[in-house]
Amino acid sequence: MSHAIITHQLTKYYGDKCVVNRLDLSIPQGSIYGFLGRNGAGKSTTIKMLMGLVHPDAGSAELLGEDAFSIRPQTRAKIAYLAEGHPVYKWMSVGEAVDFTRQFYPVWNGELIEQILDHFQLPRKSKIRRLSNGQRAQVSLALAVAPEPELLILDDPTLGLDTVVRRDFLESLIEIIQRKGRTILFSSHVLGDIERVADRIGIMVDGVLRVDCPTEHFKESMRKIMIEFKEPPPDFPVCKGLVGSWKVGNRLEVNVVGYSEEHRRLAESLNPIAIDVVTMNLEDAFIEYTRGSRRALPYFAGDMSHVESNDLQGVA
Amino acid sequence: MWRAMIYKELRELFGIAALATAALFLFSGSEMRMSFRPLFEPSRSVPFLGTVFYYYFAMIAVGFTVLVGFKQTAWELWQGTFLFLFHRPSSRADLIRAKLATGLAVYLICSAIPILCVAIWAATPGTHASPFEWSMTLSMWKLWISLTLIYLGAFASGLVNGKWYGIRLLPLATSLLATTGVYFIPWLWISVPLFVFSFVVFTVIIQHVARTRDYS
Repeated sequence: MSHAIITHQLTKYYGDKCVVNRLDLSIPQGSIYGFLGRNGAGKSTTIKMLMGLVHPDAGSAELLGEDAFSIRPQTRAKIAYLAEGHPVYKWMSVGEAVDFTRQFYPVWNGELIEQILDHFQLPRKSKIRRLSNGQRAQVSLALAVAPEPELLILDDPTLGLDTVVRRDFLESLIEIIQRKGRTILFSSHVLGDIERVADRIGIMVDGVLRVDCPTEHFKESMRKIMIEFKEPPPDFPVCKGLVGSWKVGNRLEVNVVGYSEEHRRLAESLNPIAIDVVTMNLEDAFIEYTRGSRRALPYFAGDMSHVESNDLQGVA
Repeated sequence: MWRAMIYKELRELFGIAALATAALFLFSGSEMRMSFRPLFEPSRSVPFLGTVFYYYFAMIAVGFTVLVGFKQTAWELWQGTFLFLFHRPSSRADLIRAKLATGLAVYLICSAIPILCVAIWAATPGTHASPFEWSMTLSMWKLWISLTLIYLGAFASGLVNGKWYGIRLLPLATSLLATTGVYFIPWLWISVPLFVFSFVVFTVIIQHVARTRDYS
């Protein structure tokens, strides 16, 4: 199977901080890859390295079989990139942005862009600076797909859009994607967005790709084990697949990937009064997987001293 | 690509160019004995031999070149539009070349017109009671061309990625020095090679920085 995107040990430091840590990524052609992670997880830096806009400190990246940092213009014409925040020249009108962009491309589907502009009700004469964030995202999407790209790289395209606009944007995106077997890399920190479009997900946590599997597989493999004790609970033993554990009063909450009998045996070895294994939906699984030790404050927080956390994500 | 880039750059530089050209014409008018009271009195010096016209031309043209250079680089970085531009299927070097060519053309044309107007006025008999030879304009043309180095310095400063303002402004400071050298060194056999050398060095630095810096 040929791959549209391949990275090998891709690494980037900003000062002393490693924002992308030895990333190995292989995205097969024709797949829709959801690239997830919290803010600051390293998604945008990874994408910018793929686009040759940020230089890695180590490692390499290939897009459509070419080195990402010396990609030929002919190959670049086959790759669409929607940068975070949809930077487009705001002084231009929609029509001027279309005319400006068209002049760079050997292939340009004028009919498609007119259809998209018409669908989104974007008049060509509207100034981009007068458009809402959602409309600017729609213009960016139209400009990105008009050259009939083989590969689309979308960096948090729904960031800053309200729920309705986001839904509309994603539905349009799905429709456009499904027209041809395009490869898509779609980054977001909103799991619902990814769930709608992706057949495979990757989750970045603090610069490390912790998950790279089919979407359904991830959802099915995450479990929360609720262990009740008569008295304050002990620590959960470090084991394979352990994401993190939290003590809430006399209850120990443990998140694991790839739940197995071994996890149950370990829970029973702590002599609890009850064990409950809970399945999670994709969003809960993602949240539990990525939030680490930072848990939400209780709404009526009086005494927080009974809440402890043990972030063991590295073990997973 | 070139047509699209030139159109874009011209549109973006139009405001600065219009303002600078108007200001240059104001001082040129004063040199041509026009009165702009209460702003300026008409000049009484021999055209191209007095210092006032040079002084004001230099002041405005430096501001003009710096603004053009920064607008083409720092402004794009600030707006995030380099992420859009540099993904177009053209080489980054070509995109930068198009920017440089347009920026230089805008500066050179907009600032040459007022000089030409004063020169033509001065060459027209009966306009002023002093001698005029076209060679008297050479010094002004030298100033005009040497200020292109400041444009390149500002362009480079707008692109340079540095933690400190000192590092970012280093190309601009260096270009001021180079311009001063080119303009004040009276021997052409030194000032012309110095100009060419500085021009090439700045262009190479700009292309190098544009290729190697991170656009994060």
